[in-house]
Amino acid sequence: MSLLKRIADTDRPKVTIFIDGVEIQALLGDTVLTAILLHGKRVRVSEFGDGPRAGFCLMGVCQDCWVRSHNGKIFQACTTPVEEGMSLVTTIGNSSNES
Amino acid sequence: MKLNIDVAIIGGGTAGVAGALDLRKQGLTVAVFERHKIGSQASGVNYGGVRQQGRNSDELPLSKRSREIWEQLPNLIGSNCDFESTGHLKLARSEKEMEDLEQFSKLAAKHKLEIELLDHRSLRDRFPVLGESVIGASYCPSDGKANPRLVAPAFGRAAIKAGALIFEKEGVTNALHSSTGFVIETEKGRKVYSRVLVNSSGAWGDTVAGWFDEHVVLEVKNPNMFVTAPMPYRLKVNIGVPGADFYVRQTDRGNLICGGGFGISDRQASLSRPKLDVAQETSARLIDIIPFASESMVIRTWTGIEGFMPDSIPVIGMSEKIPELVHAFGFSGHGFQLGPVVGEIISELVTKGSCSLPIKPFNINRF
Amino acid sequence: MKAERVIIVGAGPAGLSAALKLIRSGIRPTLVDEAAESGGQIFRRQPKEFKRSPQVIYGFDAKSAIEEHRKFDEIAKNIDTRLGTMVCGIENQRLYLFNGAEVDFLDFDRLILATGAFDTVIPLPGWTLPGVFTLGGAQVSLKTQGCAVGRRIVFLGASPLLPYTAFQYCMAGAEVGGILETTSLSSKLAALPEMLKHSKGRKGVSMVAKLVLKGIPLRLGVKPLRIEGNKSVKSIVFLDSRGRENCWDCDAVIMGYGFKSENQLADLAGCRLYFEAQTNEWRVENDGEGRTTLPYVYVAGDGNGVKGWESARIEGELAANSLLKDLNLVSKMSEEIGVKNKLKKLSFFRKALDRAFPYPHHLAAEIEDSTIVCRCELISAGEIRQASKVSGEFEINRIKSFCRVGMGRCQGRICGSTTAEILRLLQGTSLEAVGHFRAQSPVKPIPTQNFRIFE
Repeated sequence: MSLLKRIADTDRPKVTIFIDGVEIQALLGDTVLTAILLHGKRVRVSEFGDGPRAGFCLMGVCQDCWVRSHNGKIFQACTTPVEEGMSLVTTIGNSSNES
Repeated sequence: MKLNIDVAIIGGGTAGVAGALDLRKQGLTVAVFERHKIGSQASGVNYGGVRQQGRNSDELPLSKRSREIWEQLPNLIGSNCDFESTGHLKLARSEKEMEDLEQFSKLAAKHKLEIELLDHRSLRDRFPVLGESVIGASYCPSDGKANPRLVAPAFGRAAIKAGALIFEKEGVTNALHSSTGFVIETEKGRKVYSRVLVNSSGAWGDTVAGWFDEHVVLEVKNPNMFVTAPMPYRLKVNIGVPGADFYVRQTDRGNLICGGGFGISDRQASLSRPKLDVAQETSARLIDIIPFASESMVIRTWTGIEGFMPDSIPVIGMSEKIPELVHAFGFSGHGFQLGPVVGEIISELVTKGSCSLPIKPFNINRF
Repeated sequence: MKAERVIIVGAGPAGLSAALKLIRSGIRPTLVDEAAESGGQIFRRQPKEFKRSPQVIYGFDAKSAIEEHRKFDEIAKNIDTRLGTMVCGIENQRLYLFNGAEVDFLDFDRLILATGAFDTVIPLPGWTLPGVFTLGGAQVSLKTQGCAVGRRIVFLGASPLLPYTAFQYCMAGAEVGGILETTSLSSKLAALPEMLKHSKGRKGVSMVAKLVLKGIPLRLGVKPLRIEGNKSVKSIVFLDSRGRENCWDCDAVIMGYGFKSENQLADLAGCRLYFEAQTNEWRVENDGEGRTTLPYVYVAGDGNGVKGWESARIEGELAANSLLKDLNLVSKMSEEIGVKNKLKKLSFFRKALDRAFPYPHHLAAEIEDSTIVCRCELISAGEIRQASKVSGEFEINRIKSFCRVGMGRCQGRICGSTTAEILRLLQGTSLEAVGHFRAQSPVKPIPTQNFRIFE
């Protein structure tokens, strides 16, 4: 199940991305946050141990949706458009290592 | 408004409030006057490194005693202020820097300060978080880090509990000395009469000294700092370099606190501004030295107002011109660890006129 | 004449209005906005891949939205427009910009800040769960991503945009589980006569009526208790106006208690801010024509007090007009006579809205100790109260330094209002005395690997 639900404008070119290693079809124009939350219910895991987070304001204010890509880059999911081949990791906090 | 007091202290940084606490224990009446809030200047916004390593040799005996007091903070002021003895690593990025570190380790041995020298191999083995460019380091296990925002306020509360008077948002506008003692005027129009005056006014120490015709050259600088969002805790040790143009530590919540270079300031307005481009340069060094920082994000910059003396060591001691005037200012960017012992020294100077620690090198008329 | 370097921050109604005015007077400003598309929040343009008509997206505001988009297109032909560019810092007359890849700077002679506003929220247990979003976020998701934020959505808060957004969601075919407003029925009824005087007010009332007719549950005078769920939202529990506990199943909660100005850049630049008691807002001190206490900085729009897009448009032109006058360039407002009157009339409607949707101070101030207030640093209301009690202080930046509230990534944008209310109540002081979080650069986070200077 996912958090978000597409209800309009679904006729757009497909973009292949990877979320936690799983291949996903996003649509061109989706933000990374949209793509992730159409697939699941979590963008990251809170670094303070209070569980999963999925963003909050969706417009670049709350800073709660920073997500990490497979190769160590980080970006704000709600303001970053999806790009072909992006590989995102939602199972951890904002960086590559568990404490 | 009038006030009669044994000791008036100008400046509510750690030195001033630690001095107030100790003076109360000696039974003297004390009042501290602070233009802003306790610990709101350099004492509260500095890097938070608690280190003996790398100090001028004259500072080492004081630093050693201060280190003992840091252990006792919970008893002394009711909080450890997040002090942790996680060690301090000074990195050498060149052969010349490695030689400097070797020199210091010899000096440290004389002062019975334990230092371990590490070559590239053992450094990368012991501290795998470091990048390739560091060629060696000097490690001081008894050094560490603490939270600067908590220290002066905690000393302040302890001083108040012990009976000191603390006046915040009340700066001193003028002070005079005569045969009957000091007359101090504050910006709220209060007139304070004291036997002793302590000048612990940090980057404004030269101004206060100047009221008594003791002139020193003090340069105001603003160490440029920035902090990242929390990351998994991987860097226990506090890191610095010779020359202090780069330093980084990780808090136990995971933030990387990093500094290097200087911002700009307006001492008159007690304002200082960090410079973004200076932080940018420092962050390039950060990623080089701590590669995992490449996954972090910079969330804010800041700076503070620091007084630097020409020889980079503070002014501590009795005035040469006015009896009963004690100076303790100009900590040149490395006063945080010394705060607790300076409080003791102030108290000793006030009550005995002399100090058991060797403070002659810090005399105000040494220039 | 030397070309004045003017930068406008914000491509919403205020910024676009200012840009157009300057261009028509021969100035070539640079326009910067951190979003990928222009329009601000309310008229944010959808990405170019999206095809829905403005009528579908913006409803009865479609005409105005189209105007804004046309404005931008005209502006973009004439000047340097940098979308997706965040202004992260300002030092004297130098602006630092982050474009997603690196930090650059631009020097300027004059600056117009039209930085808009963001949602005011009030925390409650469970608000950090996946599935809780803001009102602004719900709008962005629907308008610019064609997505509903859930399958069964409950709207919670006190804001005219609450029923407005619920209505949009309904029209778009999403399931609206219900609307929970903290405002009491009596307050609504008291504000109704003034609301009905304005066409927008009448439209709003008719929207609410339509929602009720569609069978959407609407509860007034509620006290939200908690949001429940394990890894995401499952339900919301609240007390209704009779004090009875209710539980509504849902998979998304949209929260909105009004809006707050984004004035960090003005603060950082050194403009003086003051506390506007009537609206409980920190505003940039200005002369009523956009000039701030700094001779080279102007403000316009919701970034200087939330007044709505119509006021923002006028203020944008007004600020540009002031700038032109200050450069000794002849200028005239497009409707010279009546501008101030128009703004005043709009402010009456705004006051009516504030009375119909008052911010529930007590709800924020009385938050339970265990509730998380600062979601960036996970600081609870209890920790804030403790820091204030132990130190005896209440100035918000001092409390921040003691307990870390507001020290996280969002620089206190989300937790600031609630923290101020908690401190105000605890220490029996005023919001003005509590103060506001001081802005620090970068005003929003920048990945370190992009922040560093590239050789």
